[in-house]
Amino acid sequence: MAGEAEGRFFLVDWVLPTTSMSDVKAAQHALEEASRRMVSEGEPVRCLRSTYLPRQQRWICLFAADSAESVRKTHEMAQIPVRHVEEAVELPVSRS
Amino acid sequence: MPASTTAHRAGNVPAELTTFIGRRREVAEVRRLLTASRLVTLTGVGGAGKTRLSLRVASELERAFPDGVWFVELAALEDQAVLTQTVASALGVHDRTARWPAPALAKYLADKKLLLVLDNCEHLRNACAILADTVLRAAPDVRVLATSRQALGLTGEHTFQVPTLSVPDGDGMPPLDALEQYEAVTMFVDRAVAVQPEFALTQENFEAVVRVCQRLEGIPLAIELTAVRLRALAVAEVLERLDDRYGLLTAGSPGALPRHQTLRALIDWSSSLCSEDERTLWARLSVFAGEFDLAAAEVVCAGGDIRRNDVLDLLASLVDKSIVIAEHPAGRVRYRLLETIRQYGQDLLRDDREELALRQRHRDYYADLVEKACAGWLGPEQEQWLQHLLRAHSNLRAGLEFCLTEPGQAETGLRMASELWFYYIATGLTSEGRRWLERGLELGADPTVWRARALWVCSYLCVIQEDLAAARPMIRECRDRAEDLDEPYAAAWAGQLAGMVAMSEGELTRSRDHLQDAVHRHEANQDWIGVLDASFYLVAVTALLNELHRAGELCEEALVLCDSHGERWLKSYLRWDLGLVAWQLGDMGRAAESGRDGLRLAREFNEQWAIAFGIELLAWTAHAADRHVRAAALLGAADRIWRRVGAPLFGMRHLNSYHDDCKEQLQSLLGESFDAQFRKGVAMTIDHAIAFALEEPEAAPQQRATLHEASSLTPREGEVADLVAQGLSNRAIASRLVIAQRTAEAHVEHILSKLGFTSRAQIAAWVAEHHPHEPDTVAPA
Repeated sequence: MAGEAEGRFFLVDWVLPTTSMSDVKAAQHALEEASRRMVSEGEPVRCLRSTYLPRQQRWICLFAADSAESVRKTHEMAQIPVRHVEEAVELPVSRS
Repeated sequence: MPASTTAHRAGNVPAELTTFIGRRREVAEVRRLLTASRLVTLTGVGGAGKTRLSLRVASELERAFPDGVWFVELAALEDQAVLTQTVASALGVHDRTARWPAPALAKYLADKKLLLVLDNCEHLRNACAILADTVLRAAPDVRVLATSRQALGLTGEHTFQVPTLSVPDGDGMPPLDALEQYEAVTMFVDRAVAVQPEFALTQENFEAVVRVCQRLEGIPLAIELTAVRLRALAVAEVLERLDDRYGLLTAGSPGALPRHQTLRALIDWSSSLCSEDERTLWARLSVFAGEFDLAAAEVVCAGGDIRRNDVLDLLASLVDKSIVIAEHPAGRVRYRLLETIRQYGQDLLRDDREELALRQRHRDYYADLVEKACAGWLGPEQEQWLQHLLRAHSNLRAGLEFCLTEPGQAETGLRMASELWFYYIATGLTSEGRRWLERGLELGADPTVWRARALWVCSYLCVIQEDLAAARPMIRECRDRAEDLDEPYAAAWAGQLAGMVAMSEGELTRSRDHLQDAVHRHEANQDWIGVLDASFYLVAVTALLNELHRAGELCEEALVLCDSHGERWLKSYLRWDLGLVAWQLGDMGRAAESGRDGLRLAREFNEQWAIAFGIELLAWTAHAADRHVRAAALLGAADRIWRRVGAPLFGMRHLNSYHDDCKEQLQSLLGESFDAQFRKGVAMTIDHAIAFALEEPEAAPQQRATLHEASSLTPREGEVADLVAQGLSNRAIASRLVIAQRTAEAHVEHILSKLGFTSRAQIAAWVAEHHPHEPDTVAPA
């Protein structure tokens, strides 16, 4: 999978005080559709993990992509405003 | 263009400028598809007539959708990130919050029965698809009609390939009296008559007309561009030139040209028939996004061999050649290019090394407009400046995009975006404004004056959206930059923003201190709009601290300043402030009077935030005056607008307790009837709600519309419809109106198509319905 092979991961983090859980779900659906379309146009972006923290009203997503710009473009396509896309390092977790 | 200039009617389908020819089958089919599917996409090559067909369907369906049919033109939109806000603006939704725009729009549409037309989606295909999907999932009674060169690619989408107009097949030549069935021929004649009133289809010329239409493969835009040639050429001469042109392109095999190249060939021909200066102007005009006026064309496009004084004549000539469309809304002439024509002009430009200089001139023109609007904002011409900026909205975007994508232009972008601060607030385009500013701030890291100013503007928009986490670091940086640069203007605004943040946090005393300091700093800078803006918040926080007399004094001082400058926008807010203070002091008469004054002013600017505040206050005063039924309806009316802008009493959460108390008391007093009255208010359009709140008399019953006003018929078509209703044949109509019989036939055809009828009897019945006191007519057999 593009991104994962080269180890490029990106984190996007939102604090959403006025956004409901259903809005987050709708946004996730839109993001998945946008990712699918980006892939079909030769710019692979994949959401690896999506975590919502209800108490903090915070949504965190981890992406595998070739560049932060691809992640940003995916969000713009999905009509989700994104302010910061941070490159992340995934640390393997021992299963022992 | 954002909807702030439009009246609050349900829908915004633009009027058609030329006669819509034929397409009855296509219109019926698209209408049928829309009953079967909630997403229909009209596809086809450029120039095939997708937009016209969508407009025709939209206008026919206006009555079928209680919440209207809404047309959103997307050709000029380059940035997919602002797609949702563009659609929301077209719908008149001024969401000021930091809510994600797509779910917010979906929520707004959830209970609406409307048709949304997204025109020219191809370059934003993916974003349009995702937005359409989001809306359709959340809003079960919304339907979407899109036009695009290819389908959006969504499950449940029905596509309709828009065919070209019908033309006679192959080498056969139908007789003259059979040609009315061919739409391409009808259109050609209609457009020919527009430029050459004596033109008619005759035994002498009909074969040439048919061949021309065959050459053009029935492509509507190609026919438009060709018919205008009849100003100077006979039909046979037009055909000869087309044959010459196509012969070159197809190596002598006429008819072998692929369809998408036919239009290109036609546009090439149009281009070759232009003078060099006309071609140059055409290329230069392609830099405009959406519509433009003569002044803009003169400044941006003059240069080299084209003097400023030459532009008008050249522009008129391009209008004559149907390269440029001229429209006359409210007595002003606005110009635009159809997208296919504009793209051709851009191609001409790419061969010209002047492109960068041209785009810079375009940016400079609109940056200059913004600077003038900002300087002129504090004055009696605010409404005119606002309308001017709204009309220029697409070009403002294009100018900002140039600044943020062209190296070395970010500083100018920051300046432009900063100077538009009042525009973003007055129009509710807070998300878009914030996006421009954030992009500029990311690019322009140097500690310049314009960076400092952009920081306060961006933080202001963040505070309006209640995104305090984003606002705080910007305010800190603005303050630091202002100090480093000795920039008192930005320093004053940084202080004001600190006060606004404190107010949102509930730190009212700290807020008051910051805001008072800000007012003094603005005064020292002679930044009177700053004084007034800070005063609005200072008065509110002083009132919330229960220092009511002091709040009243501050407000009166600010109102005097407004009047001394002829300022009305902030006056609407300050009148509301005064109303709030009076209400808290128990002076309900004065509170209601101030509330009404503020509401009247807010109406001038279509400032929905201020409108909602005004209606809310009048609900409270009505309740205090024991007009409980009216108060409940006003709360409902305000509620509808609050949902459009974000949340109840958005930005003034501390007043929520007043709202809640009022509502609870009314529910207790009115019992079950509260809900009915509240719903009555919710059902009001904004115009109706304002009139109700101001207790304005109902509008006088409209004069019965004339035939052509009651429909989209032209005046001539109205005359013909009347004669049809009187039982006259086409020949008799032609004789009565002194026109060719063929022309009369075309008019009848148009009437049938526009009204969705299939017989003359239906026309007669329709005329009788609209003019019931007309002498009895005999329905034709």
